[in-house]
Amino acid sequence: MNKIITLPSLVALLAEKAGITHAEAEQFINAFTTLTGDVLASAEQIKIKGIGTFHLSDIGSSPIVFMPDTDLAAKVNEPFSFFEAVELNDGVTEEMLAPANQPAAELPEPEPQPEHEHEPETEPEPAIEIPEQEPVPSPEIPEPETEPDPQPEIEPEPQPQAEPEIPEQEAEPEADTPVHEEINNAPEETVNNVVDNEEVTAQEDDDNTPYNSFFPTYWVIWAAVVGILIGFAIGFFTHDPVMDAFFPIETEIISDETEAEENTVAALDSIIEEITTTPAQQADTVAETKPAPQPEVQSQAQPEPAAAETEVYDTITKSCFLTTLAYKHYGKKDYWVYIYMDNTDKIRNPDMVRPGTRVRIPPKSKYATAPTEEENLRAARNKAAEIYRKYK
Amino acid sequence: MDNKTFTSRLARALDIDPKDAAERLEAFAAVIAERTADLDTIAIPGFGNFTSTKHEESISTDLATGRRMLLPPQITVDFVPGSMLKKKVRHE
Repeated sequence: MNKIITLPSLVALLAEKAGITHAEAEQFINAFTTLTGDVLASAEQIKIKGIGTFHLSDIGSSPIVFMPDTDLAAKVNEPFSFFEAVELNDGVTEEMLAPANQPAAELPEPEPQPEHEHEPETEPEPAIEIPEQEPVPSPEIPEPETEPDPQPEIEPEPQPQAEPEIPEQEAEPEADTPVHEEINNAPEETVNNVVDNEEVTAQEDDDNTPYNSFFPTYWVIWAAVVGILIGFAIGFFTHDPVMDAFFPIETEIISDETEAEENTVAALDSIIEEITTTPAQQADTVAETKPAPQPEVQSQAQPEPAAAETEVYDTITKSCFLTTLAYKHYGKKDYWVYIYMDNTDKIRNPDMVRPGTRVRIPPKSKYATAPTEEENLRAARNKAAEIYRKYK
Repeated sequence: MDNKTFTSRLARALDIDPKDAAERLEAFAAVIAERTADLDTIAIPGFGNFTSTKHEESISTDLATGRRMLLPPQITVDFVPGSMLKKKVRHE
């Protein structure tokens, strides 16, 4: 790039390109130049395919005018072939081109080539003039590439069209510091064209990071609260002893499960027992609890003191039912009917006994009159069925 | 002189086949195109220099309509005749 191709280099390139020897290539070049000069000297223009047209002009300084061939011009201008002329808006002035044109004038001359010494003919002038004519790519072109911020005032145009960006280049050094201030403080600069989008997005990312870091913690807390509530609900419905302390249940209303099961099993025998129960026995059972007539009183006088001595009382509580007392005093829950029958003045519905009710615990022998335990149990169950028949 | 005539005369001067002359002329044109596209200068002693110039973008104004057009940058190839060729053309 920006090199001077002398004749030996040209010969070598032609030889390589055409596939001929260096001598043949040099001979060709010499013949070409001689023929061209002869034709032009005969006041005739030459049109060479792939190179261009050489024709004469009346201008003394440049008697020969060269018009490059279209193929040659297109191939040379290939890097900029896709650019097209664009009509400028009214807001764009020619002053914008001043910084663009200045680097062209200040372009450094190309480096001198050591091949100048190899020229056989003494024509140094054309070789010397060449460096002055050689342009150097403007350094301005890479600058737009390094500038990350687009200019909203100027319409979006291809990068080589750098004129619209020139006034913004002047404002950018001044706008760099205000841009940071705009982000941190209230905007003071009127030039809002240069906006550091990267910093804004970075700040937005910073703002989002606390939220992003807080977001999972927020959901963890909510999940823990929901789990605790579910645990309470499960404990509430599973009748946990701990939950009973918090949510006590009225136990006196709830009948014993064993009582219900046994009552259903012994219900069929209740009718038989009623028939078999004699009035005398009923009177005896009642008489034992109540003050009897004198002849019986005497007989009961002795047992009364004994009964008074063995009379037991107990209290119905929220966790202590008739069946509980029966099991406690008789060893069998089925004998709760004895306590019920002995306290009919206080108890109506055996399933609805008020806690705190003090009941008398009769002796087992008072109601268990059957010879065997099985019979006593059967009788007690039948009695229970009879009692529940009234209240259910 | 057109290209065909020039090629035939060149072939006669080199004493080669016109077809070969055309091929060598085509290769010569390709070398010029390659080097000038790379912004190099081809200096042919006694003849002149084939140079390429990179023109920056510019604004052209149509005086009739007042329209201003932004011309894109471009690279153009030019030929600068040597002094010997100038003398040859002026004297004859």
